[in-house]
Amino acid sequence: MVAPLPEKLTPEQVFREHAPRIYNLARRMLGNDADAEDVTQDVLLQVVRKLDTFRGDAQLTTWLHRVTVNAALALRQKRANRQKHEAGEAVDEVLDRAAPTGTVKRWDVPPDEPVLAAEQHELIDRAIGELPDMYRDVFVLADVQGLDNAEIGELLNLSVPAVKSRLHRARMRMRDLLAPHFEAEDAP
Amino acid sequence: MNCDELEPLLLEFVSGELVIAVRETVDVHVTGCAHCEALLISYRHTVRVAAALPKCAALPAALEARLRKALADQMGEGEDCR
Ligand SMILES: [Zn+2]
Repeated sequence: MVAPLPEKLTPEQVFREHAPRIYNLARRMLGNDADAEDVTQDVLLQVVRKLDTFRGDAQLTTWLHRVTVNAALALRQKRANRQKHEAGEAVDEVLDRAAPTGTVKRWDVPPDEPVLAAEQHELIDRAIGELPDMYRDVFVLADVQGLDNAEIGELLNLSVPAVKSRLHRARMRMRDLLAPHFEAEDAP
Repeated sequence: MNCDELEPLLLEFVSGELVIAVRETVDVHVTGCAHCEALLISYRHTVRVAAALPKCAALPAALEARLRKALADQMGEGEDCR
């Protein structure tokens, strides 16, 4: 069967279907509403300008990921230069120990896919916001967005082993941050 | 296998990337170690809650208005000769 020719996207479609995705991703990466809003506008105007060159939604989605990540990284870089980055290395050192520092208590969680309440979204997003940038990026792209390690490596200019190493450390840190909220009441 | 050796394998364990022999060693250890069993369950849940987060939650109203205006301005460029 011959696939039908993909229809051209309209700016309105892009706006409705993609602007929220761009904003949610930028906000998680940057942890800051105002910066995420700037990135969203930037990316949206870029994509609408190039709308004629896209054929189909899949291609556009991939491209949007790349442009959004690049725009977020660039904005963060601009901020870092202005602040002459403080505390960068100290954070890496702390995180270099992936193992949990205290005893690991049992979590009171269902064995299958969780359904989250709105206040849990907030809680988890706040924990993501506490991750150092280098870990937050891979965690958001891998575990929230669902990209595979090779795609993330391309986006962040990292080898696949480096992506996996950062992702593991990010998850261990997230685990520690979420532990107080999920531990069983009567945990030993 | 001890607890310190297990921890770095968690990522590949939960994504099913470990070769069978190693995976079985992890399984055996986790079955007999409450610490690592709790670690594995919490690690896996951390991954699952992240995947369950909303990825296209609605834009704040003020941002939506701002973006619509920016879009309209850009699309109107060169056409409005007032
Ligand atoms: Zn153990």
